[in-house]
Amino acid sequence: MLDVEPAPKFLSVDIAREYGYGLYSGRYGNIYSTRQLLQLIEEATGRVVPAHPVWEHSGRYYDAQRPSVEPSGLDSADEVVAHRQRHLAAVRRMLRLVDVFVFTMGLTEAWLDADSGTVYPTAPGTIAGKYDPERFLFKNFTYGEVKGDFLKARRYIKRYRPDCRFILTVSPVPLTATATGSHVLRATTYSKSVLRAVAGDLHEEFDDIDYFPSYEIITNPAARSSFFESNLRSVSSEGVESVMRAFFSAYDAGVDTKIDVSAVSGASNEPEADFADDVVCEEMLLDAFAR
Amino acid sequence: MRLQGEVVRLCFIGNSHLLCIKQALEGRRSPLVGRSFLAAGGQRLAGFSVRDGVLDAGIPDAQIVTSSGCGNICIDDHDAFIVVGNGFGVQRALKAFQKYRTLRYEQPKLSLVSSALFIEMIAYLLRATVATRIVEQIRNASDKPILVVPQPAPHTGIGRLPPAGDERQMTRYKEWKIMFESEVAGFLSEAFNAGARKAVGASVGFIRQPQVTFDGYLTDERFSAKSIGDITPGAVVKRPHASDVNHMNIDYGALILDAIELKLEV
Repeated sequence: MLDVEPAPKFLSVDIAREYGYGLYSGRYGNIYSTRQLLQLIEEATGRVVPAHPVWEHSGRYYDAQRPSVEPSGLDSADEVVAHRQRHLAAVRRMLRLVDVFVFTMGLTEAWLDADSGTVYPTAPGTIAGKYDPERFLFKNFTYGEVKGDFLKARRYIKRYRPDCRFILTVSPVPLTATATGSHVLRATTYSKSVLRAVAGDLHEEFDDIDYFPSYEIITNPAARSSFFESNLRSVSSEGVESVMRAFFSAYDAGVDTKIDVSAVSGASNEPEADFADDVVCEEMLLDAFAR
Repeated sequence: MRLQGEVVRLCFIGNSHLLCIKQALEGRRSPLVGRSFLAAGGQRLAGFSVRDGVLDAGIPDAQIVTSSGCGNICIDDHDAFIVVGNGFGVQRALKAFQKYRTLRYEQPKLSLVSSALFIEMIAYLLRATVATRIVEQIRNASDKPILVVPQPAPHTGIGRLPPAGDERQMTRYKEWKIMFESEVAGFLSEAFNAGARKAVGASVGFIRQPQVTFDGYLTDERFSAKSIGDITPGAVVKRPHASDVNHMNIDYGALILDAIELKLEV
């Protein structure tokens, strides 16, 4: 597996994860939407410059595109910019090396800068930044937008790696809140339906795109919600293990299909209920700042 | 960390950096009485453990220095434990700095990290020291107060280019060269103190190197005059190598004792 931004040598696994290392092939933070994916590639390749790149909170400075990777922020806006430049160089390195691009579609809901269309992973004013209704707009992407953004991202990736193949999955984690004004159950169903439909259609239409059913493995009725933690939202270690076993079985990557869940969760020796605490998610930060 | 009672029984555990404290303790009337010492040179206490309430150095008796020969030192016989040196020092910050840099000290070939992450790295390196192992072993066996005394920063003499042929000092000179820049030294010193507090945790006290002992961010050379650095059992206590910049003297030890008394409120 590619890791273009490996964790510094002198860190425990837990601290490294807290700082966004070892979670993905780069230190992106969570990429929830295909628009965010597209924007990252466009930014890394010099096509766009996101608006309002630095958010401030209590005298600390955060990368608006990945506010969770530095839990206590950075010392200055300049430092955020310098770190982002290094990060974007790593993303470009990833684009030059990738053979199989795995992307999990998480959400259709996002916040955009009204003037530029810049998309953000979290709502301004939550982890950091300041919410200004004149400046930021809520957006719930449609089927066409999700699909179009992914296809555009795919085109850019193919310019670097023409033979690159893609595996799409849909996150089984339901929404905890929605900005649509609808009930969160209705919003979740919309979001997951759109994402699942897009992923399925892309798989049908393109030979280089596969769909891996982690969503179905976790949410199927026969599982009786047993792959969720007691909060019925976080995926349990058993769920992760089942998904990964199926994944490696399906793709026969030549690796041991018995997954060491501790490597994924960092918590195999901990009580099961603690597993959810290890999932690095902006929502934890949102909770912390809400208190 | 208030300790009360007619007799305050302390146990000091460490390496050669413990000597200056021992000397200072012997030379003064101090409320810190009933003290025991368990020491071994360098990193020889790496196998330290506590067995049935008794400290076990994990090495042959011949390599241990204790206050009463090689007798048993029991946790129950002491009110507090002071862990000295054993790799717990600003040297760890220097090690991290050789590979990782914050924006202010950025270099193209070194990885850029935030200040917060740099401190986490120092804490990680300090948690890997023999000192931290000793602390963990004692804490697992007892709730009694534990203090960690770091190795002193090298004295300012390290900034002098060593004479040709003195390879030992030349190695140190090269290692520490970056610390000769006061701004870097200040950053590393602060980062070390922050990392140290993280590494020892809330239940263990950390004794900062007294401010008065510094000349800039290195130790004032006067605190090294007439220092003793060799604690080999059975050997005549000897002066350190002429170019030893790491060991401090009785005056330094006395200031550390003051800090310990203050922390323990004795």
